[in-house]
Amino acid sequence: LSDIAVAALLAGTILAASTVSVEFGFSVALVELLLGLIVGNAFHVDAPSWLAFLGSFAGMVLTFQAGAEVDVPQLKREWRASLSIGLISFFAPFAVLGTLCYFALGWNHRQAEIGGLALSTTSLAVVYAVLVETGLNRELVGKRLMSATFVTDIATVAGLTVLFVKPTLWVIPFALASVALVVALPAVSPWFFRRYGDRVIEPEIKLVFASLLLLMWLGGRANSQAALPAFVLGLVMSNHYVQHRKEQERMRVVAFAFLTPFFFLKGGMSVSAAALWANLGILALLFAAKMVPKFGGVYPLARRYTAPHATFTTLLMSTGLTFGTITSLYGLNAGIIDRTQFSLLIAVVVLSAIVPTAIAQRFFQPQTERERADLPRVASAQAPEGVSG
Amino acid sequence: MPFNRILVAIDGSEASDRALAKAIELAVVTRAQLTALAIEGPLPAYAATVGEVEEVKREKDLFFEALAVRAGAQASEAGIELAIELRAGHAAEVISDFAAAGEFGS
Repeated sequence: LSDIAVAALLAGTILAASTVSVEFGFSVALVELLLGLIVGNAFHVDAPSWLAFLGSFAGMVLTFQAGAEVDVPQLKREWRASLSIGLISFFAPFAVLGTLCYFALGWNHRQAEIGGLALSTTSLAVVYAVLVETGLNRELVGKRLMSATFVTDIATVAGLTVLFVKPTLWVIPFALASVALVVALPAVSPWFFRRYGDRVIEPEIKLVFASLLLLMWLGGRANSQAALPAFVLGLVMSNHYVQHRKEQERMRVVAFAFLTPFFFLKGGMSVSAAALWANLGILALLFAAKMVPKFGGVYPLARRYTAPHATFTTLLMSTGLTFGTITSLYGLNAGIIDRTQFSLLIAVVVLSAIVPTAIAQRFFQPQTERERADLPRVASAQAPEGVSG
Repeated sequence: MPFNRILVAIDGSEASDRALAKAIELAVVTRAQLTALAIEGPLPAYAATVGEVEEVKREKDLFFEALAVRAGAQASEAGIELAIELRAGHAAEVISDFAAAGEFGS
């Protein structure tokens, strides 16, 4: 197929994924991954280079957005609980999975590191959706869970950048540019927004994209990955976005409409259904190797910090999706892991988004304070309080 | 037949509009306390980004805000006070749990 034919096929697939997502209430990312798998395996479409580039850039934009979604004041308030739960949630599965992949599955050490990183993540969006749906995001247990998820995310992106860096001279400009952007962008943004913001040509989005592309280029030259500086850049911009919600929304529109669909589609297309079918035992082993250490590490701390909802907390900390996909795609694009390993990692990532969430919601969902009240609260005849939360 | 407390579930559909109108009528006649229960359906399952969740949540909030204001106005016109409660989850489960906890039907 020619490039334009592939583009047309993928555009149709992306459109179908959006409508299916709206109609059935599933995350568009999961539908894109699934349809990507179908298209990639049914039509045997090789991902063209432009798709690999768009996918990589979209991964950076997603990482930046994840950083921008961190509630820094909340993280500061709950740092003790969030640091311990978040770090153990990362390191316990990372150590177990890395060891398993290296010694039991015969992966080399870089492949084992990718496996450990991809499956140690916690999905901020999955956790957030469950908490908002139940109103728990306004209670202490929810705030601690969110903060712990931020910490696990930070550990993942730090691992992704630091573990694969090769010490060349390019590390210096990469580090300098990262620090300069992290310092300068939040300082410049208020002025830049006042001068150029609120226009359909979106100079402020272009400023962020230019910064991310610069980091990607320098990171690539340093044989590293720009995930950490991209995440930290988002983090330092989070306060700016709190004050300029519309700007953040416009960036999301650009990302969701054009960039992230290619990222998840590329992820799905690179999954080999035959490789998955042939390795179901390893798939189950990897899934267990993610869940068991998450439980072993997080549950005791959760009993201390989020009691009586320790099981609920542990299950949600065991979810994963976006950073697992980003890490796996990085490993595949950089030639660190092969297609079979990638397929296994993506399958476990998707399973970890669905299985622990479904169990947590079905069997361990705590009631909110309001629901624990015996009688319904009498509200006025105006909009109810709970509506705007 | 005396009613002390009446619960009506609302979701903006024609059927729920008719149920609310009947419930208001009944509450006026029996002088019962009327509660309207609105249930927000689930957010996107297994979302990949917080933005995706926030967008759907915002849409739902706007819808239910408008619904609550409309129901409140309808009750005010009939001269009664309406308590409005919003819950998330599976509609059938939430309605039965809420009714049991609030001792409706007494």
